[in-house]
Amino acid sequence: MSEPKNKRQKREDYRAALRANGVTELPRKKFYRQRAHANPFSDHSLIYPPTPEQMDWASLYPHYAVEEPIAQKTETTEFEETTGQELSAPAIRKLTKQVEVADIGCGFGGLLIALAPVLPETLVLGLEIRVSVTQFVEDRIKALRVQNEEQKLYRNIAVLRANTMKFMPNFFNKGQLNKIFICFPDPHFKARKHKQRIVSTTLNSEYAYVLRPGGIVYTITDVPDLHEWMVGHFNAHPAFERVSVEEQEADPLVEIMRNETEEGKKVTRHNGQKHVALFRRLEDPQWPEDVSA
Amino acid sequence: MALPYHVLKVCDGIVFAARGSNIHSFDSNFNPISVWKYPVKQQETNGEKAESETPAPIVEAEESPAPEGPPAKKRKVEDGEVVAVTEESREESKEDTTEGQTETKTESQTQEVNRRSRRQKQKQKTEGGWAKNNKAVLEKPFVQGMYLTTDGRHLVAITGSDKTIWVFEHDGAGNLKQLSQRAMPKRPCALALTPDDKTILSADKFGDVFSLPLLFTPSEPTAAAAATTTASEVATPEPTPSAPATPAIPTPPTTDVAKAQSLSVKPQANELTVHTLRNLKALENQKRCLERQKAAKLAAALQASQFEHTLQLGHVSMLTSVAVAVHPSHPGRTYIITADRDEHIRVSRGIPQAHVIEGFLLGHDEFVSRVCIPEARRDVLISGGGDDDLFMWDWVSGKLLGKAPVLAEVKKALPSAEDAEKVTKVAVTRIFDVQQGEKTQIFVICERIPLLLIYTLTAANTLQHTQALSLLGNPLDVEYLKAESKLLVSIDPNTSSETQEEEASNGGVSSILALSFDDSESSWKVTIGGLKATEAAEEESSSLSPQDLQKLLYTTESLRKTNKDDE
Repeated sequence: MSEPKNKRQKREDYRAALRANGVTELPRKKFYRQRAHANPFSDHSLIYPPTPEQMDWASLYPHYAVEEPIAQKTETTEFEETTGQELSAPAIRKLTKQVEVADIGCGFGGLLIALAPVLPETLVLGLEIRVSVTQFVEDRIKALRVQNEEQKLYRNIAVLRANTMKFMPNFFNKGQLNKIFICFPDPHFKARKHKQRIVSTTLNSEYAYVLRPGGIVYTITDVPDLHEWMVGHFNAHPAFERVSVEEQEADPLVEIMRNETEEGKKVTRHNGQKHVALFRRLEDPQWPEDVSA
Repeated sequence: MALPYHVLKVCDGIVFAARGSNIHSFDSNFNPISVWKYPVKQQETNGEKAESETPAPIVEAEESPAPEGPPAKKRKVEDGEVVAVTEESREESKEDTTEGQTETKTESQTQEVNRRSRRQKQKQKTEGGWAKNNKAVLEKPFVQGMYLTTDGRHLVAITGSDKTIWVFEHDGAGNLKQLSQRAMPKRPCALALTPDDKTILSADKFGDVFSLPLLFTPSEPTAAAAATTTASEVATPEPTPSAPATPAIPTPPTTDVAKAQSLSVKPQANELTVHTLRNLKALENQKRCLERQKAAKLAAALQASQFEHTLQLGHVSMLTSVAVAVHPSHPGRTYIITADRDEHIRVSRGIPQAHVIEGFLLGHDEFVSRVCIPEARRDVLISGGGDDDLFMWDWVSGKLLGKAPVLAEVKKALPSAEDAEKVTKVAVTRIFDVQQGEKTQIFVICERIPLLLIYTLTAANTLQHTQALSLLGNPLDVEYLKAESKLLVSIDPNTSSETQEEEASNGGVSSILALSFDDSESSWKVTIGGLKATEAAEEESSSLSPQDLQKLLYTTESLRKTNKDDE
């Protein structure tokens, strides 16, 4: 029992030291390891805004915040405070633009960091359910921002700990997003765990809700069964159509997704296969009454 | 313990009141009309369950679900008791099984039978023993909710631990005729009926909403299985939580399944192509595996195809309430509104476009347990749950119109300051609207609070608290007898205090109160004409312990998130 404690101690020391140095060097992954699975059904002690309007984006993207008087508040109590008050009360700094790209299950953040220079004008958000891993990406982005201060790089990416399966509508408004990345998700091989998969008929409706028509869901996996599952479910969903292979290969982001995600690199090392599929969000159908009228 | 009438439903002067697992009907003066009794399961003989031919197909499927992993998951409600019994009685049941087996043994027993019985024992040990432990509770699951079609011709009820949806035909005079029972894959939490009265929407504990036709004819299990095995294989990959996982232990082959599986198992090689002893063995193994898979598939198909049910939408959270709504501005459009334990209220389009999410009503900090769209004000939705307030929404635009305090009013209205001190949170269990002339009144019940809170929904879209009526026990449900302008409130008689118990011995305490509006004082008052507890107690009282009964009656507060784990 002493060993894990020891490890934890080391880990904490390391992170404290990193913090003390003002996070200028890149964090080391070994101090942020966490088991690969998280139960999306359990009540994690998550912090999420009651509504997207109450989300404090400015703390994630400080360089894009509108200059306004800042209400002093600590991050942990913020939402409790705001919700206790009347809806008009909280002073939350707005951003000059909205988050438009989300990487669901961003893991150690490889894709985020690769996307930052490619989509310089777009705010990209990584969402990850594991605490330590989120912490790693946070420290990594902080360090990168400091290191690339002159080029003003990496200011458009941020990471958030969240359970997207439950709380995506708490962060994003209807039609806010342009792209969603689902890269190497947990395959959940057992049939009885299929409800935990990040792609399902019922969850696809939520992706359709946060995506604007024409927006694209990018999926990649090294598990053929899961690939078929994802393709099957998106194809079966009336709000999505699969993007043709030509168009898919012409999209520069696909190449980045193949090669820059941490999982993608690992799969390359093991000579695994990578299955890519893109799906376009279609316009909502007309109401049946409008059609008949 | 005396069982209270915990669910009420009124239909044209007829009062339906669910008590435990039975449904009683009364006329407006509480003269009993009839009782529907939850059917006692046929033949519980040990070990013979799976092989018997007689039971109704659905009950059968319900009793022996494919043994997919820990059964403890499936019957969670009574876990208090269950956990306590486990080991001992499991042993017992194992012995019983052996006895049952030996009795049925004949002299000319083949090895095959032997193997089967062994397997069955295994199954009994893992699963049958479990069911046996819970027999006391499982035999009669509580009615969780009752719903009426708009024409009043049908009553739909859900029972808890057996996950079953019951449909009754109502003759208009209070007599119920059971039409069907359907065991859902997951436990339904709430139902709604579409405006055309043809479809039931069932919101379950797993977060999914299924649609079922109100009326259906159960098909023969064999035919259904044969017809759907192929269909289910080809069908679009629905994430069917209804399709059970591949069972680790195969169910003992019933005659049907055995017949079907012998039809089409094709191993890659055969005895002619393999020669060595080991390879032959491997082949045999392979065959057995294939057979097993086939059986599993069949069992899955059998269970899934008992009746038609279609997945319409889903949350990744336990659903607590579902409603079908039509906004006055677009009378042709129907919406499905679902509320969950994770503070969300979702507004989706109605069937057939239920995949389109129109919006969310966000703002609750705690679970949402009830949504109510007042009959006369269909543009407004009132929601309540673990929060201190009621929320009022313009549900089509997703705008919060305002809040009305619940906890504060409860604290104010409780007779003793001591009690008021103790109440730090409320869990709303009922929100009920009554139209009185021009006035829309909203009645709110909170769990374990002996009060009925009354609000008025004003034309300016505010909820004004008008009255808090003290009751003699915890209210459980509320309904309105329109013809007589009588409000009915069912009371848990076990919660009344000592002085009231004296009254009870004099026949004073009612298990269903009748309230009427006193115009001179413009407030609601308890009137004569309720259902007396003593009258109600004439029937058998429950064998449940007070704790178990409480657990079954008061389930809302437990939705609150307490110990959040953080990994």
